[in-house]
Amino acid sequence: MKSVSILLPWGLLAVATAFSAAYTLPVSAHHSAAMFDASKTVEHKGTVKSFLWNNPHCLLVLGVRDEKGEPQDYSYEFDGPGYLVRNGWTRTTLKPGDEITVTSNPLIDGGRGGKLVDVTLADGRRLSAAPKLFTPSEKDKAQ
Amino acid sequence: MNLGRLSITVASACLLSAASSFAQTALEGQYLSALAPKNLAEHRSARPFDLTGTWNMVIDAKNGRHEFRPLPELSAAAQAALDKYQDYQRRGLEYRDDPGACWPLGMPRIMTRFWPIQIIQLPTMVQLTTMFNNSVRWIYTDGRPHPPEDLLVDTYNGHSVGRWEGATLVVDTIGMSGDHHWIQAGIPAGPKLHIVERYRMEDGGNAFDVEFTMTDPDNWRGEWKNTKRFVRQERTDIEEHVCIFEQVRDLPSFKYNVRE
Repeated sequence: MKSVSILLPWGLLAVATAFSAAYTLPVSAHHSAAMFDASKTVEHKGTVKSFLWNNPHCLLVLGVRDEKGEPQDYSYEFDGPGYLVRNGWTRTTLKPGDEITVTSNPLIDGGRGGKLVDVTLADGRRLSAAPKLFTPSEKDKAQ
Repeated sequence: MNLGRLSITVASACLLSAASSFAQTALEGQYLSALAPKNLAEHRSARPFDLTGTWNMVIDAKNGRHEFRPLPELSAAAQAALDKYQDYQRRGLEYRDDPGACWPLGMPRIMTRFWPIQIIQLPTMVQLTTMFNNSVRWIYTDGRPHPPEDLLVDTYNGHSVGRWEGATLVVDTIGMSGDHHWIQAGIPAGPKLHIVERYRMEDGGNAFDVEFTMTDPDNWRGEWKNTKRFVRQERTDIEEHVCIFEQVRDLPSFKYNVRE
């Protein structure tokens, strides 16, 4: 298990941690995910600056304090609303000013951002961004 | 000429111009429209199945998931393009991901995405609208041929005609652009690309299989075959889905998309 440094919320100390990927994310449907390190997940705490609820991708910009205490913007992309709603997301799940924790597959080159894996909201709810296929039920099938 | 007469003259010119601008397509007048009442009402044999519905492709590792695998024997040029793509991938970069910059996916890639495909089958035409990029295919089943080559306009989904062979709908597609058009990541589609799809209904009308047979002598040897399954979705409709360059360029992945 590799260790990577993480950035912690506004005003908190940085603590290093890491854990292996909890999800195996498929290659993004719109483009490849070569720039993201699917073998790693990192956590960032911060404040939601903007949230685009959109097809084909959602985009979250999170305000984070780096190790030096400097404010930095982190950008996370993830799949569109059609998949997120199956995991309990809505268009108001993330609002500017919300304090959240983001788990992501980071950019391989260390850039600020990544592919979003899940978010933990202020109320403790943890919502996954992993695509989940819808399986039609037997009763809906044509006879 | 006074102003009153001038304005009447201008208005008349506009009207004439409007009248002559109706229905300007390269194929205007070549065929009866697929939606012309006379064409729809023409007596045709009963169709063996109806594709009308909302469908999702089954993502199956055995046939390459969103891609067409196994690969055929690639030409030297196509192999070089794929090698270059894979080299960039190993370095954590994307290479010439044109759809990532809002170029159309085109055929056959438009058929293999995560998102549903809406199909409306009429006696004269099968219309597919993919949720991804709201891309549309019109497959004419009214007996018309492909247009003559000198009228064919290069497009990303091509020109498609379908015919019924027993319990199979056979769809023939030509006329696809070779510009920023890819069979799948790293493998280019050339202007000689020809795709035959064979649609067969399965599972009592709840699924259909499409066998793709693709030829493109500039890029691979012989026929490249692959079969994808699509399952009916009873509780979803497609939605607006458009690629906006000014939005995708803000995605963190975008600056890692090497486009030369």
